[in-house]
Amino acid sequence: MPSHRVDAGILSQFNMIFLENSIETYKSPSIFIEPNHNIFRMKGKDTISFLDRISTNRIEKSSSIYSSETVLTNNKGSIIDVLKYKTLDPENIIFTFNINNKETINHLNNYIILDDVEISLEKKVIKLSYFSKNKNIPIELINHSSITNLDESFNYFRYELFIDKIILEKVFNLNSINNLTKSEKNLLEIYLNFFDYESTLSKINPLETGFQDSISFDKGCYVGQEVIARLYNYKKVSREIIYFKTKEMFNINDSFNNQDNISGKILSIEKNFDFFVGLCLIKKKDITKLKKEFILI
Amino acid sequence: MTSKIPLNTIKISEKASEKVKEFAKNQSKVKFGLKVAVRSGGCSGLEYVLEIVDAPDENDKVISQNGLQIFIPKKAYIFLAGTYLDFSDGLNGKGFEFINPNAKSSCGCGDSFSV
Repeated sequence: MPSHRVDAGILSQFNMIFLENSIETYKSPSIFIEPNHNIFRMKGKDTISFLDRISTNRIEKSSSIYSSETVLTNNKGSIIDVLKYKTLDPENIIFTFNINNKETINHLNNYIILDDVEISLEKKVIKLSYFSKNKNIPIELINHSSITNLDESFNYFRYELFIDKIILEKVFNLNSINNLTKSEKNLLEIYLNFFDYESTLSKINPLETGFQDSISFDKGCYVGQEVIARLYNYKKVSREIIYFKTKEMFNINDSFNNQDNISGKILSIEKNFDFFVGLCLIKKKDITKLKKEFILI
Repeated sequence: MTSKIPLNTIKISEKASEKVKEFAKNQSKVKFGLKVAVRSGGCSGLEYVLEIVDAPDENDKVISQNGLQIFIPKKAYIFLAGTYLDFSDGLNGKGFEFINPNAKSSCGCGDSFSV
């Protein structure tokens, strides 16, 4: 079961309490719905071998009701996208992306040279994020979800269900459960240290962003493997995710350099009372320079 | 040596040819050819494929050199045009070695490349 939970570093107690207080007001369970997600199908006799050769995880048949995750990287080991997938049989995989852009499909298609693999749009779905303090979830949601991802952090469970909208409305009363706003959902995910790859990010390595569980270190070569394996084996992963707070708004992928000469990159950000809080990447060697309150500006 | 190879073909060294024939003999093949192809994978994105096969596929380009038939799928040919295939043995030998002018970079072991 993949989990994106990362060991985020220092967040001031003061700020943490504020964030915790915000989160505690959310009812459990709560949901957040995002429209316009696509599920694709990869079909052909080389399907498993193909995806295995171009992404980080070992691709194999699984009987789990939950999806697996694999990361597409370029030959420098930087993330292109993250696939949540389910192997239906040796010739069929259905999958969805963190980001729904054509570039990822083009990336996959560019690698189909001689392989018997065809990629097509399977269906349009909505993404239902279901946050709960216990693992229970209405069975009708699981039963009707094409792809179901489960993560756990701080005794919170996050289900991501990719479901046909019409079917969902038939089997589940969406008004019977607390609906989070986008801001509330973002704050909850920041608090839980869930980092989801965004299209605006670049030059991010899966090892520094909590995707270790989605990397096979013994399956052999895949695109980007040489860099990723070297960083892992020589313990050269130089950056780490930590919480931050700031008075100013930043955009995702913005670089920063604060008054203590700590530089890094913004991964996620959301307003929380008078501050913005979020997750960022900084160099591990700078961790010791951090004050209890890590304030950018 | 590679600069002399026209881009409308690939070349195979005598030593590599002999090695292919030796492998084919070990597999008791009488009529055979060497399939040279490229597929996705390897650390750099594209990996070389070498295979001893009985006959070319319909869309293969066929080249004869050193008494050996080489079959190259047309889709792979754009990545291989002008390539020199050599073989080095011994303790420090790399085995079959591709010197490919289309490769912008290759991985440490030389089995894969990017264009």
